[in-house]
Amino acid sequence: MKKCLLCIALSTLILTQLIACGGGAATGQSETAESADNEGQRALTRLTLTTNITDADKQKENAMYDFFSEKFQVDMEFIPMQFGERHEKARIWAASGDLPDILWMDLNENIYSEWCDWVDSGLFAPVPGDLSKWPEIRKQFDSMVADELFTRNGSVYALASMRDMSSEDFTVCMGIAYRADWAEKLGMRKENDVYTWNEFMDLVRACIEQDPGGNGPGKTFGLSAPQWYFPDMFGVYQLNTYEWGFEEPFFIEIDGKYVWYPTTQEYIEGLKIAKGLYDEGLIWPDNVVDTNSSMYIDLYYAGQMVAVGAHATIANLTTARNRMAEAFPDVDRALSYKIAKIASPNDDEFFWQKQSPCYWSANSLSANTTEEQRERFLDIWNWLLTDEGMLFRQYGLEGKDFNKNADGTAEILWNLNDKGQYTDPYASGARNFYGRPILNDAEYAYKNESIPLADREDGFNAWKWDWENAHIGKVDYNMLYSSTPNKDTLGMFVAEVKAKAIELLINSSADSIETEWKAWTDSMLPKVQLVLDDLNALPFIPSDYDDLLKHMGGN
Amino acid sequence: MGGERISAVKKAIGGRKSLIRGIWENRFIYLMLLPGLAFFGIFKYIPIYGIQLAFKKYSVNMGITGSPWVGWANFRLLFVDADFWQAVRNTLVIAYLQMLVFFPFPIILAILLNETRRKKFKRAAQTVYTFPHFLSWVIVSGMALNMLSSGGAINNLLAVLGWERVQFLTDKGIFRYLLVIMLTWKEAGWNCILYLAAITAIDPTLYEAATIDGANRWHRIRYVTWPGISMIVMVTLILRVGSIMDAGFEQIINIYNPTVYQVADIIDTYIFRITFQRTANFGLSTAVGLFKGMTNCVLLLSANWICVRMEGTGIV
Repeated sequence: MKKCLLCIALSTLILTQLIACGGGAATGQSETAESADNEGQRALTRLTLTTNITDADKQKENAMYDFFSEKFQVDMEFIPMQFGERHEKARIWAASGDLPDILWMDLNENIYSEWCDWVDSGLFAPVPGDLSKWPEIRKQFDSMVADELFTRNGSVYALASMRDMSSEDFTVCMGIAYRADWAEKLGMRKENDVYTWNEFMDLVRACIEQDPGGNGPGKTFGLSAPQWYFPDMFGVYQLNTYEWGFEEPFFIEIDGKYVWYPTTQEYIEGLKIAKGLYDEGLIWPDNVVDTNSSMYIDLYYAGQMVAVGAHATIANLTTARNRMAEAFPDVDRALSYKIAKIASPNDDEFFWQKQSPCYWSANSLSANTTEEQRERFLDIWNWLLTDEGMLFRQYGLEGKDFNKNADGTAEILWNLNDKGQYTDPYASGARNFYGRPILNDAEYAYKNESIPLADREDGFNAWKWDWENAHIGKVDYNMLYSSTPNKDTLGMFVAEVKAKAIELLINSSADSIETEWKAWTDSMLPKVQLVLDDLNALPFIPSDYDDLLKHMGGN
Repeated sequence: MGGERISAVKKAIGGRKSLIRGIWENRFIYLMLLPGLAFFGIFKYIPIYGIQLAFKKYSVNMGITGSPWVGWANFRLLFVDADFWQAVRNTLVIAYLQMLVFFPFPIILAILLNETRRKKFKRAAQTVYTFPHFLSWVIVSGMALNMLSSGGAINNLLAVLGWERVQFLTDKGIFRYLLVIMLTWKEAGWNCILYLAAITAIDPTLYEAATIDGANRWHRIRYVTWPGISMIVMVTLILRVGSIMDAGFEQIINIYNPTVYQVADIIDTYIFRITFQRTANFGLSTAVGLFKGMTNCVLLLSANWICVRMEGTGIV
């Protein structure tokens, strides 16, 4: 009897293990649920979609989702896909034929050529050529070049998500957010937060030394940035006076030929400036080990950081200020996170800013999806782009979260907190999916009445200031999105450049950094030159942005 | 002659029968093997099929079998990559340091614990030493980051004592030792269980006899304990040599940063970087994996050969 029980127990154990190994339905397998269409309603369709929040189910556990699911007869399963792992996951899914129904991820230059390969391999389904059923999507396509970038063999294979950009020329207000309240306390704040390079570094130095936050000796840190801006935010960006802007150290067209930007004297000088700041202790020493880009901002919210590299969208401004107001109720909310405009280290009159590609991320539909699933997704996307969808995304449910005024604006019904600000009744992340087909901040966030007016105006004015005063480096779509054999195989060397720059920032001396950098770039040239040769052999090399736009069809 | 052959065949059949009978008689014990066999089958043997990718240019729509053969092209690409050789060098150096420090530590710990007279202390110490094994490398690395960063607990302590802060996590001279110390802290307690078990199996009368013969504590360790565990030590040493190219992916990927790539980028992190952090080339990644596997295999056989020469026995 004992043996029999043991046998059953072991068999169960083995079976459980095998089932666990086998898993359920594959991520990419699509299902259209069997729900009956008995009252003229569409059948319930199941869609699996990637999302960039870990607690993915948050998006389903609220009244907004109930309404949405009912309206579109859709059951959405969200699959977490964080920033740090998104390309890894996508590559594994693509290689194993296990893609979700809708793959939402950034489709930037680092993965674009692979995405093209996936399209050519038949992993994705095209968006229907006739968009008459989805006029809002058509309108979106007409306003950007993304649909051209997403076109392969005559069909469009992705829907763009535009985000974090201004309405004019897709300018990204990338810069340094800082403690303007500390600057005021020290009597060093400048009008409109416009600083020369030296004025700003003096401020950082003074904050570290004089500790206006009262943190105690050695507990106030100067400058920091997320990994994607580090260390370029502290010198490299600001020295780029060329037509083309960049967030990563790419190739750049100079006098009709592409060159590897890290080999230019501008880049080297920028790196030396960052090195000086690091050696002096103005750059937070642990920025290099903050590989998840989380500690730096936590220190800011803990009141220990003077300034952080930031993407100054209205949404980011609000989030940061809310966090500061929560942690420090007595602090002036707006001054606790202000965007500084800092001139170039070389020229007090020159302010650098960059344009962004016209979209941030893209949604590709798996080839495994049924036509019904694809149509359902396009219906959803199209509706979210309508005025009605916009109000839903911003506030929630009509009658419960807002009332629509005669002029189309909304009267918000949310509770107000003791500072007179609206309190979002939905959990953080609940409206993550609905925000994807966003137009841009000026269209979307600026009109969002639930965001404090000061934040909206500050965000908008930061852009406006850039449009009027800064040199805006343009996106070279021609270089970034071209597909050449060596570029596709060897990539753009961004990770290598950043890793080496960080290494030398810490481990070289001020005297040797230039020599060491040149020695390294020389050692890289045999590989880099292959890509350079490809790029310089492209049939078109733009001389300036107008030239590029003309070449791309004037969008 | 014919009779001999017949008896040999009978013996063989009888042997097979007795093996089958033996398995049947102990079927419930053999049943317990199944999960392990299933694990090795699914995760170790079936994936061997994918090794062919090392000689192919992988195409998603053609699959593993359909992708075109490219001969040694992936290996040629690999062998001219300076980062690859740097990763090989780092793997060997880190593994050597681990062998030097981490490998003997659990043996010493087991002997020390065995010599502890107070049972309560022994149990408590064993629990404390074993506990870190159950923490994942993500957690241990998080703890290390918090403790060793420039604003971390250890540097704050150094600052309070008036000493210079030390950049533990970005100093190329320190980082490898840091890896070994972390590994030893996390795994020494767990690894010593094996040696403690071997010590427990030593006949206590040997210790009594040694004591009567006037052996002091050191002599008992040298002439009773050590010979009792030396076989286990040899087996674990051979196995360790056979996995020398596994220098601790989970540990390193969670704690390293670009400033220490030069001394800490091992083969596994190199594979991770070339596969997932830039344009994926699964053929190249598989080629690295195959190189690593073959190297481990050669090292394992070499270590075994040396042990057979020295001790007269090995594991293969």
